[in-house]
Amino acid sequence: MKKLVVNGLRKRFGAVTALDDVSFGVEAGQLFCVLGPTNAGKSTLLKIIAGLYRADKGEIDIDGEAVNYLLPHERQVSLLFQNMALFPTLTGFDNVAFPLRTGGVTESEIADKVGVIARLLKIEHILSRRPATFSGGEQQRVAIGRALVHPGRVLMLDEPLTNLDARLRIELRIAFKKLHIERNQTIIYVTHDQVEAMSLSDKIAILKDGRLYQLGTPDEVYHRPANRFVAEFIGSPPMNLVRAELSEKDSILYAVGNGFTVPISSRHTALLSASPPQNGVAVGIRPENVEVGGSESPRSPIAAKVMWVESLGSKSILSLEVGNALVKAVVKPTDPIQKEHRAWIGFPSQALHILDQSTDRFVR
Amino acid sequence: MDSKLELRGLTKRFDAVGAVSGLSLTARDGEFLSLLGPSGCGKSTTLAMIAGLLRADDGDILIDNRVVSDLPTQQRGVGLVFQDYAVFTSLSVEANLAFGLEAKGVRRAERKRRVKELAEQLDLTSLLKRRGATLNMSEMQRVALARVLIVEPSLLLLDEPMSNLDASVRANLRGELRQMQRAHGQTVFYVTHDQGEALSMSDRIAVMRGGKLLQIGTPEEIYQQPISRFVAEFIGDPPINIIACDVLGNDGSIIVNVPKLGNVAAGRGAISAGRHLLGIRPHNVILERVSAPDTMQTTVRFVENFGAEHVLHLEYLDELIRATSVPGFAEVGAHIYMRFDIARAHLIDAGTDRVVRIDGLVKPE
Repeated sequence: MKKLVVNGLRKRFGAVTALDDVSFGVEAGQLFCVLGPTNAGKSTLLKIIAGLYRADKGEIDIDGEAVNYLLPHERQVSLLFQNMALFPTLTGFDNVAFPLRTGGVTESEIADKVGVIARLLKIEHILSRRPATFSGGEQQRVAIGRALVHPGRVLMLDEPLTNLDARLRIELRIAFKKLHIERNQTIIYVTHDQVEAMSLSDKIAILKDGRLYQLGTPDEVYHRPANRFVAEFIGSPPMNLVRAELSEKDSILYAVGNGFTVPISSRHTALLSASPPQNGVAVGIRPENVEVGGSESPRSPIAAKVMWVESLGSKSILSLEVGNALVKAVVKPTDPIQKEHRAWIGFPSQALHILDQSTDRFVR
Repeated sequence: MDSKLELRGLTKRFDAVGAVSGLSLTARDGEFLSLLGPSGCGKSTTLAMIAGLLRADDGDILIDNRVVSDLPTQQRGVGLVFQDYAVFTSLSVEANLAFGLEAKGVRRAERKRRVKELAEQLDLTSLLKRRGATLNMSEMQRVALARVLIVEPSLLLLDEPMSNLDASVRANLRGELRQMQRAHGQTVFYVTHDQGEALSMSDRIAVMRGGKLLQIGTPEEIYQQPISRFVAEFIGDPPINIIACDVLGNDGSIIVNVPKLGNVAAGRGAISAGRHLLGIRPHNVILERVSAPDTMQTTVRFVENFGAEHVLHLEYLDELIRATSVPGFAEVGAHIYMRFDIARAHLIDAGTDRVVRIDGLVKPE
């Protein structure tokens, strides 16, 4: 059964539409990410589910029961804000244990539960200290611990890792994933970071300007993005999208762009002839799918100029100029092409995505 | 190449975090040098001293081979951009950009030309008439950068300028900033805690911790030849695996034994016999679907999906080992086999936390 269902949610603040007809369902035990840029409406959505804001329209069900008119505490959900406050006079332990002390839990159970969380979040060494002595990262981890120890029916986290050092963010991202695998809590996780969303989630809702752009598993949003925004938001570096016109020769359909011509797969050809684009297309290809070679070949027939190289250790990213477009390609850190000024590249037909320029939606 | 910026024994004593002790390094002319380290390592303190916002207790700062330690900020010829963007919100973007030129007495026609030119380069043309207050965070930060760039400082000091931006905006700005720097030939001194940012943009990276310089080198050097456990763990996402190993033998001739995998390496290294550590990057864990020589069986506990690649978390003793794989290689619960690309592993002395070189590395009998 669905743990949480959000249906047709709308919210306006004056002239600004914060949420525009947002609907989705979250299964029990899922980690569900709400991903989008600043001002997408992510935090508003959480506050409406928590009961801190009232929606203008739409329903919210938790465990099959409408909660629209319930007060925040009656909804039995918990929400961790981006800037959370700890109780300054309580120790780390008592801060984490706080939600458990509202009744029914024995001290030895509390010690067990806090212990498990503390190990996972690596805060055992500060449990006996007070928050004034914590570093920023330690404060954040204690606050996360407090939220996780008693998550309610749905635990909602608003950018929990955003203000942390990059290194700690990576560590906690992995700790979160592990924790979720072990405990199966229902979590709604808000972030602007696609890496966090991809690696943590069972399902992702991608939001922009209050509208839902795609709802899907990490594999779906990565390998089958619905539209330009999703393709350019997901992936690091994101999908290349290069403008092209369709042209038929000897009954084969080609995408012809500035500096390249690529044949279109029969699957795409069928779809395109069923509904021809009004304003040309863009060919989309993930950087790891771009073929890169040192010389012209059937696999790499497109001439490109190597503009610059980013070396990330386990891989390198080439920025290539093709015609008047910039194309990114991922190569091995040892690939000698990085030292060259020219390269030959290819866009394999089976890895191509075709975007209808007039609708900004992919042809699928 | 000529030295643009040189620090000689730079020291700032604080009771709290952020102190700097005896920092010496050189940024070459036209170089993009990143100062990378965790919060409180002294990197921002260092930048503030170079900028002249903070006085050093000891040591010297040289810009263009001239000691500037006693000069005020405006006479040091540096451009500064911080995490919090300095943009005049009541002025248009155009006026914001022209401001620094006006202060320098550049004539009106020349000002207009330079504003137009830079705006085109930075994709700000469409924003020129907008007021600062109407910009979003990413536009604001680009304008802040442009304001500094337009006066063409030959040394640009940047203190985590992208920290407040969305991840996707940050990724785009990285490329833009790098291109811009290349085009203008400035020397950039870039302070960051983000190893990904440092790796992708820098010519060289200086890694700092506790007020001290640990290692300086190209991104490849820092990644492939970290000098200590700290550097090895600080660089790389997904992070490096650190596991226990036993070093056997002595007189410099050693064998490295890893629990469950047996003797994985032999060679010469300056390390005592006993329990030490081995660092293996996740993409140097080699995976097989069926049993192969030197492999051990393991189970996939969970998977992080990054789209282009997956990171598998594999059972190993009481821990988990991270290994990168192509998408779809193995699902949670799958039994697969793994071994390590030992030529790319790092032997870490458990006593000193320093990486020890193994010379004449061979596979033991």
